Amino acid sequence: MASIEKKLGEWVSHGVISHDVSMRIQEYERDQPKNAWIFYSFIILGVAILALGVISLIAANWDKIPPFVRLGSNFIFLGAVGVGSVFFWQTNREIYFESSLLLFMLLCLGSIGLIAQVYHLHGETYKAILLWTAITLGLPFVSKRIVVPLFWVGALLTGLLFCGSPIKTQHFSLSLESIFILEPLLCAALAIATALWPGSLHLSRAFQAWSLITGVCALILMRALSPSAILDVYFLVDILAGLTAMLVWLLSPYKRLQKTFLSIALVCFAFPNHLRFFDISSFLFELLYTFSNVFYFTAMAFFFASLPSRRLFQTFVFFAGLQFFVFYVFVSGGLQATGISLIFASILILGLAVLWHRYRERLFVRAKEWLP
Amino acid sequence: MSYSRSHIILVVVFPILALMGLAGYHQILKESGREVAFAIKGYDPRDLLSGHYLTFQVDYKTSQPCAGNGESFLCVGTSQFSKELPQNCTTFIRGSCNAGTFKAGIERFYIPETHQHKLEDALRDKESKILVSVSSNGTAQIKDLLIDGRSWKDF
Repeated sequence: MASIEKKLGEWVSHGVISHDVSMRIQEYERDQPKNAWIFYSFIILGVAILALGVISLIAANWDKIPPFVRLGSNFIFLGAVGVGSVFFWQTNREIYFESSLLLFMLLCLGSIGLIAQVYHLHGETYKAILLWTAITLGLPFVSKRIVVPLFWVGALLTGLLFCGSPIKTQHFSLSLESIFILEPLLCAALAIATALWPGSLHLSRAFQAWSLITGVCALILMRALSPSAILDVYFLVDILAGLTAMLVWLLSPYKRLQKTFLSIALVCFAFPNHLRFFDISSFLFELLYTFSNVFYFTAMAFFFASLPSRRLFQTFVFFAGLQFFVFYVFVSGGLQATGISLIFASILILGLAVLWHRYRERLFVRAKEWLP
Repeated sequence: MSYSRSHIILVVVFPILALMGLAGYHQILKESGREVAFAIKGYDPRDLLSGHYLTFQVDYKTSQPCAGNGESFLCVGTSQFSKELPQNCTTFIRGSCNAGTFKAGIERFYIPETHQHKLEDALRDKESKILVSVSSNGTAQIKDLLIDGRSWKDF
C-alpha cells in the first residue's frame, strides 16, 4: 500500500492524475482483500514447530509413563487433530483446515516414531518415511492449498531416494545418484497422471514443483559425475523420459507447441547420459553437455512463457545463461576453454538481456496466442 | 471434484487405524512369541548411545558368520544360519545377512535420556542381555534389556 501511495503522490505532483482520482484509487485499494500469505506462513511455521515439539516430547521417552498410556494419549491427540481438521473443513476455514491437516500429517510421523520407541523397532528410516506417505496418501488429495502436497511429495521422494539403494539385480543396480536422476522424470509423469484425477490439482502442482526442483539438481549432479561414469540406469532414464513424453502428448491439456517444448526438454534431459558411450574428450563432453542444458532450460523457459508464467520464464532463462559459466568452472583449464566459455556466456547473457528488454511484452502476447 | 464430509473423515481415520493396527501387531508379537535371551556386545563405548537409544551387536553364539547377502535364518537351538527356512527347528529368527553380520532388527533399544550414562556404564561393565520375543514366522522383537539378569528398569 505504501508504494502505491508514493506512486500516487508522484503522479498527482506531476499532474498525471487529479487529487480526487488519487483519493478514489487509495480508497479502492484499501477495500481490497489483503494477501494472507504472511499470516499463512506464520501459521504453517507455528504448526511445524508444534509438531516438532510433540515429536521431541515423544523422543524424551518418559519411562515413568507406561507405554500403553503413551500410545493411548498419542492416538487421542491424533484423533483430536483429525476431528479438528474435519471441523475446519465443514466450517470452511481454509487456513485452519490446512494447518490442522499439516499438523495431523506430521503427528502421524511422530506416531510411527513412538511405536518404534515403545516396541524397540530397528528399521531403515526410508521404510518409516514410505509407511508415513502410504498411510497419509489421502491428505494431499483433500488439501485445499499446496503446502501439504509439497510436504507429502517431498517425503515420498526422500523415501524413494533411499529405498532403491539396496536394489541389485543381475542386470543393474540402483545407486542413490541414479534414483536422484530418475526422480524428476517420475515427478513429471505423476504430475500429468494426477492432473487427470479431478480434485487433485494441488497434488499435481506439487509434483510439478518437485519435478523442476529435482530436475535442476539432477542436471547439476549428472554433470558432477565423471564423463566415463556411465549411469547404471541410463535405459531407465530413457524409458521414463519416453513415458513422460507419451503422457504429455496423449493426456496433458497443453497445446501442440507447448508439448513440443516439453518434449525437447525431456530429450535434452536424457541426452547427456548417451554422451558417455562415445570416446570423446572431456572438453567436447562438457561443451555438448552445456549446449544440451542450454536447450533444456530454453525449452522450459519458452514453455513457461506460454503458460504464461513470467517468474519461471525468467528463472529458466537465467539458468540457461548460467550454463556457460558453469562450463568454464568445470573445464577450468587452459586459456582456450576459458576464452570460449566466457565469450559464449557473455554473448548469451547480453543477447538474452537485450531480447528480453525489447521483446518481453511481445513474447507474452504471442505466448497467449498459443493457448486456446 | 469437491470432496464430501465422508471423504475427509476417511482420509483422517485411515492413518489412525493403520497406526493402531501397527501398534497392535507389535503388541501381539511381543506377547505371543517365544522368549529367548541373547547376550549383547557394544560396538564401542563412545558410540554406544546414539541419541536416546542403545545400539549393540547381538551375540548369537554361532560358530561361523552368516554367509552371503540377503535374507537369512538363524535356528536358535543349533545356532546355525541358513538361507532357506530351517526345517526341524522350533525357534528360528528371520533376518538379513550383510558382510558376515546377521541383523534381525533387534539391535536397538530405546532408553530415556536421563538414564543415558548409567546404562552406558552398565553395558560396559556388567553382563547384559536382551530378552527377545520370537514369533512362529521368525520375527523377533525386543521385550526387555537385562543387566546382571535384572530388567534395566530395576537396575
